[in-house]
Amino acid sequence: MRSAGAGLRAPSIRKALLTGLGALVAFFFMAPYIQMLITALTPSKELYTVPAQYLPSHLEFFNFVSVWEKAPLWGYLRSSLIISVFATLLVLLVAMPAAYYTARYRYRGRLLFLLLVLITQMFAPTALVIGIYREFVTIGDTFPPAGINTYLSLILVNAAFNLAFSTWIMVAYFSTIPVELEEAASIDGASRLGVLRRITLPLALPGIITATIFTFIAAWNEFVVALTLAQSPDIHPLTVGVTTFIGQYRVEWQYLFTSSLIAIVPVVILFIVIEKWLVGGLTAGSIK
Amino acid sequence: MGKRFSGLAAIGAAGLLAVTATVPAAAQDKTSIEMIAAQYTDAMQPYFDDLASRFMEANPDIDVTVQVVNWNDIDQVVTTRIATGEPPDIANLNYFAAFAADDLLYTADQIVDEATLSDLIQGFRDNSKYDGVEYAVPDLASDRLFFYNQDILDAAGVEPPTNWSEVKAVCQAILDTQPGIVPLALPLGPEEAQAEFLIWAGGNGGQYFDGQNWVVNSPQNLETLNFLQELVDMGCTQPNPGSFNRTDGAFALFASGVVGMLNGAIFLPGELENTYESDVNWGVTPFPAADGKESITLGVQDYFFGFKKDGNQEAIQKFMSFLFQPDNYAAFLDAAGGFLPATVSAGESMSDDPFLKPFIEVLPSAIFYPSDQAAWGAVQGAIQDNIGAAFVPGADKQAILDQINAVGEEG
Amino acid sequence: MTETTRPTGPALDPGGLEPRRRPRLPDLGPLPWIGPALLLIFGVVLWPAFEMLRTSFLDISMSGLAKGFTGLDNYQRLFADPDLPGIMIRTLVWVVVVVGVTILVSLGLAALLNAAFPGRRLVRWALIVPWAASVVMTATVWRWMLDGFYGIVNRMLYDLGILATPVNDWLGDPGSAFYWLMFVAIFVSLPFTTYVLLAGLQSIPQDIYEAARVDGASGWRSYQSITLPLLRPALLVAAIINMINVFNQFPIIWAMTKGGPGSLTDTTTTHMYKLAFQLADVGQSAAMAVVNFAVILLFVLLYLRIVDWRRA
Repeated sequence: MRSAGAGLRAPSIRKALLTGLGALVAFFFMAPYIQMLITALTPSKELYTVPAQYLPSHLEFFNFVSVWEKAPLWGYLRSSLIISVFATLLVLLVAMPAAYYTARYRYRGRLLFLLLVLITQMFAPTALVIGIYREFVTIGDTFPPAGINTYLSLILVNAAFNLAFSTWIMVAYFSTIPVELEEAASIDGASRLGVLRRITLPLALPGIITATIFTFIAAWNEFVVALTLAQSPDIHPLTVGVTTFIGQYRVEWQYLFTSSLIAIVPVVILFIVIEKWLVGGLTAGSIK
Repeated sequence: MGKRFSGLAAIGAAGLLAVTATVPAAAQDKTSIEMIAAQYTDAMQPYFDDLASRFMEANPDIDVTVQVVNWNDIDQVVTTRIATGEPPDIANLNYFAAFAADDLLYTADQIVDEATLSDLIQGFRDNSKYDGVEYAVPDLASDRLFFYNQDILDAAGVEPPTNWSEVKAVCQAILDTQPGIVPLALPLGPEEAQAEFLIWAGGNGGQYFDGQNWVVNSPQNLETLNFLQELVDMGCTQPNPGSFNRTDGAFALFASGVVGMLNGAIFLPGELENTYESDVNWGVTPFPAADGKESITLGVQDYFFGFKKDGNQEAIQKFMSFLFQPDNYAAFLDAAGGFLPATVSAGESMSDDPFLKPFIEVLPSAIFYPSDQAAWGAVQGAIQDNIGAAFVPGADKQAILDQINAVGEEG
Repeated sequence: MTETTRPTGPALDPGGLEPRRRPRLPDLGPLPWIGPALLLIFGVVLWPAFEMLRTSFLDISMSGLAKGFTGLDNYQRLFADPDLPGIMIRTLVWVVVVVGVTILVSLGLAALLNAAFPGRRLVRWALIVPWAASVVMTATVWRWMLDGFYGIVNRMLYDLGILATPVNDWLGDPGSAFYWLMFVAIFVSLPFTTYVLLAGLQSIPQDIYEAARVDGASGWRSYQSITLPLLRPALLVAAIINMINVFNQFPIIWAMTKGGPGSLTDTTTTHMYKLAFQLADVGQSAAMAVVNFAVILLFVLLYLRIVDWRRA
């Protein structure tokens, strides 16, 4: 895959430079998390040295073991997974048809729909937390499985607040797929569904994957609404769970960071798995 | 839209339904009560889980859930609940009067039994009143003393200060003999600025509320701010006191031996030993007051209080009384880590603790926050946010004090 | 809505070229497609939004109880606050700088990640980490690293000879603190913006570049006249989403300085939170939230106007 402007005469020098640059970039973005790891492995006595030391005298790997006993991390992980996975599925389920139709057809009210979607993106859950709480109390009165202190309420909130971005990005992707491609396939004898499956979706895959990742991460890291709607510790996701290490008179930095690092792992795994679809999925030479 | 999506929808729906099966079913014929408690330490949630399950075993007709929230977030959680008309049944916070003013609370005798009520220390009970009526019960208390690093003071050849002039002198001595050491840590950041400031202000005879009016902006308090500014200008304190907190700054610095003097509290010795594993040679002394004025200590207590709702009063009373049973209450204090008990009986059993002795000795001279004022919660928030701004170069200290005072007056 | 002349799809083809493509169900138009989205939006987002609007006109007591209609009182008090102009200016600077720098740097990063070089995969993975970590945690670790006394940043700068002393209270001094806050905001926004632009870059068919090169254009020229225009949809999405997220950004400021000292590092979003939950003034907070929404709406509409979005 060559970017625009390829054509330098010395590809190996170019590649070396790029690799060097890439390494710098990678280090820059990983730096705070490397620091997190170092602090996570620091014995508590050495946390507060002035001036700071680069590495502690010895690495307290046991922190990664004891943290599981200090707080119910498995439970938090499970909750986070449930909320994030279902919120993401719900968003895809709802946004894909809406995005496809909006990209393809100039129906009456299309502009209004797009503006409405954009407007919802502007509301931050933090600003609306009181209203959200009140709303789910009311919903819970008529439909308990979606009331306060349920997974369903958190799934709905996370899905609704991430709908806008996913819809927008998928509209953008579906729009860039030339209609001629679909028509060409239809003429070749494919059914509508076949066209979708074989032509449209693969081409729009980067957008769909982006929407998936964005929603998953947003739901995984959401804090304020989870804190408010999830009262019992059994359904606390990780974001709420790790605050247990922020005591009134001390912050247990090493456990805070240990659990934060643990929380990053599933997301990174998801990304690594999905990344190849993000990269691939292009047909070269589309219209022959 | 086609088989694929309806298939996906079916899976999704089934999944959602399966997931929602984890919702606890509404109990029949059971009273359910819910408590929001403050997270003193990470031992609180396990403590409450254990307490609740033992209580429920003994009282099968009552269902109890306790949600422990850390201090950074508890205001937001409680406010949200009340604003939506869904208060918890019991709350554990450091203010209560605003709720009493809106007639939301039970009185103290309705939430604990007679035996517990009469066991509570009178001074703390007096501080749990709104408009003359006891609405809350104290859960625990702390008071404060001036901590110093013996080695640093010895190296500077000075004794611990007893008044403000001596504070300056000691500072100067430390600056002269040990550069790189912070003579006095001054945490006026949002974490507990209201305490730090009141300690200094109280030493100058100032207070927040004089019984009639809000006097945050009194002349004595302005004098106090100016005195503190002098200390900052001398280089006596760490830079930017307005952004410096105890929990992630002052205590740790003191523990590593970089700070000479500090306003500390009853739980600090425990922290120094257990959390920071510090080998600092520390001592305590009453707070230095302004020249010629009386030394005070700051008494701080938190509260339990109950929200009026149909049918929950008896359950609340049973649970709270259960908590205050000697063994359970001792475990509570233990979990919270190093506080003064609110009951006479627990106090007696702790009185031969040598660490506690100096703290108990100064208790009679304790001043308290004006927590019987409905606006105190908001004023506390205003102090936390704004008092630090008084130390930014060019700040108008009087205007800041006036701004904070106005919050009280509006309430 | 005007119909365009661009061929848009089978269903609007008047002649009905392919009878098979006519929907089997009665044509409900867009409803079955956008219906669920509308339901979610109205049900879960707009309902609390209306609540917020309603609350801004109510008198809310210090404990949070609604005491009745109070007209524009909350708004008056909001605008009478002497700290507000400073907060609003700061918010403007915040959004413009953070979004601007993020997009510029992301364009470069996306180009880098699109180029082929050994180890590219690892760099892409490294970029995902700040995005995968919660913003609260990232802000917390930066706060830890920037701590005046215990932070590693001070130690490094001191060792490199840039600082005279190893103690430097970056986050305590409101001037320097604000720059660091913006830096962290840029740091957390770069990953996803880069990926959005990268996805945009990758959806550009390569034959276009071939054709351009045949015509003699290459390098910077083709970047300007081919890449950038084709990135418009992605740039649009990235700019708008960033504007909104940065404006509404809460955890970074809250975790690093709590908007302090005073209100000197507050933006309108943190100010709104403080009003409700520290100053016990839920009514004024709701007014701030309404104003915030109006401001971001204005921002975004202006931006759309400027870039003439319908061409995208």
